[in-house]
Amino acid sequence: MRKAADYLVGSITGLCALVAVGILAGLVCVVAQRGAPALSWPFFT
Amino acid sequence: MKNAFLFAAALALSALAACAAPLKINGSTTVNLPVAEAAEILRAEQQMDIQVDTQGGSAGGISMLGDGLVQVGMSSKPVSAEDRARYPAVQIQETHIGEDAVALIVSKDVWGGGVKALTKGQIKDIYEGRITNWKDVGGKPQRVAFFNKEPGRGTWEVFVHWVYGSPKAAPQVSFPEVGGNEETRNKVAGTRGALSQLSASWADGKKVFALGIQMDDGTIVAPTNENIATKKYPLSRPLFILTKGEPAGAAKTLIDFLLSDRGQELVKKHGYLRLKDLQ
Amino acid sequence: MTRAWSWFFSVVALATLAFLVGIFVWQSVPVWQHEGASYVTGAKWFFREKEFGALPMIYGSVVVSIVALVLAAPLGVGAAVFTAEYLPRGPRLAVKVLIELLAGVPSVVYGLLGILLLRDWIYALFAPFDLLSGDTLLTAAVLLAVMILPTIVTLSDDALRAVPAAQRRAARALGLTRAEAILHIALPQARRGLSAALLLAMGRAVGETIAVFLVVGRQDNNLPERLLSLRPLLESGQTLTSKLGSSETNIGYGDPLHWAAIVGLGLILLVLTGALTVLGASVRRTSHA
Repeated sequence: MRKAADYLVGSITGLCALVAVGILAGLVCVVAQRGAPALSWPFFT
Repeated sequence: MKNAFLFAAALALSALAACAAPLKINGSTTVNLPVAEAAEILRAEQQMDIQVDTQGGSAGGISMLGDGLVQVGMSSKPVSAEDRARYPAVQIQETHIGEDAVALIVSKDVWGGGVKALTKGQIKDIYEGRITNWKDVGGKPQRVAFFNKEPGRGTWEVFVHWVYGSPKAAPQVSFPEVGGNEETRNKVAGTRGALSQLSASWADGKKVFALGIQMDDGTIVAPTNENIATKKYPLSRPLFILTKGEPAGAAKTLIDFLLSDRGQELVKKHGYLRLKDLQ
Repeated sequence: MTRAWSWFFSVVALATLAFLVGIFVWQSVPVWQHEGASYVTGAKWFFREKEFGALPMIYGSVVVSIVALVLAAPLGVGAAVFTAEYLPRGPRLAVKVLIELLAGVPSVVYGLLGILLLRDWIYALFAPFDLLSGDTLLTAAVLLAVMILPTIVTLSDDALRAVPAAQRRAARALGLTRAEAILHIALPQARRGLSAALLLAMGRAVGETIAVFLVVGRQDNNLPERLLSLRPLLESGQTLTSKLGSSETNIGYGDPLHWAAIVGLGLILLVLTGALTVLGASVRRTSHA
């Protein structure tokens, strides 16, 4: 039981780390894909 | 010690040189289209150093010109008496380079739902919150998502001038706000039941659609170039280049170019009316 | 000699801060005279009628930041627990560096991505709730959550690493599993550092302008009757920062009362973020294992 809890905590936090890094790396990918010129301030204001 | 002095002198001189050179322009996103292209041409052909920006729209153009932060302002509304009073030391000169109209644009679902025109009364009711669903004006049931232009924008002032007579007479309302033309078009295109004010030439008829105005006698006036030129379409506004006093130097070169045939072609290219198109 | 210099520079730093706050107070005096306490409690902001109530904006700022924190804290602290407790030295440093690099992404980029992607996602996701548009307080909150995530991860990781390894070894020696050591030994002892991390992250969220400006809808006077309901999250709103980033600052420049109202918003923001930062820093300083 305690061993199960151990694995659970380990995997949940591991998932958190994965999601966190994934979100942030995904941001970088989207920027690279869409290209910087499309993201320009006058374009949006 | 001598080296430090020389270094400081060199720094000062280069700073001075950097300050003297570029022609800074700021203002309306509407006027920006032909001006930015004119600046490109002048940069390529006459090696002029021109910087064009659109911070704050027409109001931003006027205030930055008054504050001395730019040499040239762009405005899609006439400079009001209050604006002049804010900068008593500056004599703001307007140079007319073209004409544009403000359209009321809707998203695709509204246009497809059958709403192709509105009366002034209906527009007033929407603005004051009495009409909140498109079914009340002949469309499909969908909440009206009205995006109000930021006050201070030339587009907004033309709108309230026509609906209420003056910006002061317009009631204070609390709608979501949009800024420049690009943002307005994007937001209206991406939202169901959307309505907003936009420069007529930006309503491409693909993502956003320009409503006609239904006059008192029932006729519908669409914002076409002929209707704008003959002033049948009531929401027209002048495109101005603003300078401190008479234009001189680099500013004069730019203005002369914009008033020339080539420059006026740029005005037309971006969907606005040239000076000679107006009666 | 060095003592004298350090005193001198401390005084200079404090004087600069006092000067900054002083200018904001001085320039905002007209609106305090005009509105008094209803400047911060009033629910209507109609500048042309000279009515200045900042409460909807304070509400917007607070709600957006709290929701951002609620979304980012579990994810961030969980990730920090993983990097601090489970990863060996090499991968941990790599992940830390990666996350800290991403913390340096300019906020404009987040804002523009919010417009490109997040707005449409939220509009589509919450369509059954009949949203007026994709620009809502929730959109801003989610965007902020992503922005403060790196801050939370890095600072929480530091806080957990500050708990001495001896404590963990003792726990293991006594037969606790790794998870129990984390939950009952490391986390409680890192409590102060974790609180500091969350407070500082919230401070950043409250002060963020550009990203929020682009996706929050910028609708004034949208204060709900029931403050704790979730419905306002799905509507457009206004925060202190989005108002300050809007064109009203330009318009208000000429009129003393309007300008005072705008500066007053800046003062409120200064006080809010200042309080959160000071709180976070003082909690951090007193944290020890």
